[in-house]
Amino acid sequence: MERTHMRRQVGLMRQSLFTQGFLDEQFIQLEELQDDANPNFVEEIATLYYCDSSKSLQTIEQALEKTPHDFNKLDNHMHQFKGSSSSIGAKKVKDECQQFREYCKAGNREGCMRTFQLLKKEHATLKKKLEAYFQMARQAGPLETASRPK
Amino acid sequence: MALGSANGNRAEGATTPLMSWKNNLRALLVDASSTCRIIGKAYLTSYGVETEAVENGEAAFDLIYMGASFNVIIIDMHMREMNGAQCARRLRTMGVQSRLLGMSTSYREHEQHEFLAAGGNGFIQKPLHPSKFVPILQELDNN
Repeated sequence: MERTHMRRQVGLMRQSLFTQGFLDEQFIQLEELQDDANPNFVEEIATLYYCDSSKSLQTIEQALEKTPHDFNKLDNHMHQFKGSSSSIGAKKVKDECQQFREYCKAGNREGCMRTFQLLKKEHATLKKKLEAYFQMARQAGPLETASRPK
Repeated sequence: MALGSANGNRAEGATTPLMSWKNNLRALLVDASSTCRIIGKAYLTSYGVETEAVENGEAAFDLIYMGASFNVIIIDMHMREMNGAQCARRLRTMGVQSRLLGMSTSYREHEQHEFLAAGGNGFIQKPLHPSKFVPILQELDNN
């Protein structure tokens, strides 16, 4: 019973990540790649993403501290960051990336700085939520889902 | 979060691929982001495509020099050391006949023209999704 309750909580937590716009359909695609041969695939990808993306954010931050801003370079860095964020379905992060790129195109320094702060915030918020989600999912144990035939 | 062995590899015979092909399809992914490489490789592998993933153009050229060949090479349009067009041009100069696809989250028209002029064949949207790559694989398999 306890396990059923926990699984329900995990389900609700997962659902809220979508309804609140933190994650999009791409995350579901990742979940579909998870199976008995790769039972922790999604969590591993998320961990890898956070390793990668933290470095990218540092690079962008350093580039933003230089004046004048090299908008071309900033745009290129952000393009890559947007790509990885899209790949894991990080919707709010991706949206901020897009906004940042718009400001780069317009050569709007303040816009870039402002958006970057929002981006970091979204990035950190999603990380916390995913950590909590994965931890609870691990505690609840594997679901009996229809997995692909071996 | 615990870091596991996320390398996109699947044990031989561990899971039946989601699609089967007439030919033995081989793909190469060239992408600076390790997240995107792992995900792309996992996707293509689960669809029955033998996939390699490298982080830049030079690594791709090394593979080719060592004799590897692929039906399709998917190239990130915006890598640090070289862009998609430069990578495509070099591959064609090396004699590579594979289908070359530029991959990006968004495209600028001049970049697309440049890529095609350099010998690229087409484009695929990032992030990779079966709805995008399956039709391409089907076309490759039928030729």
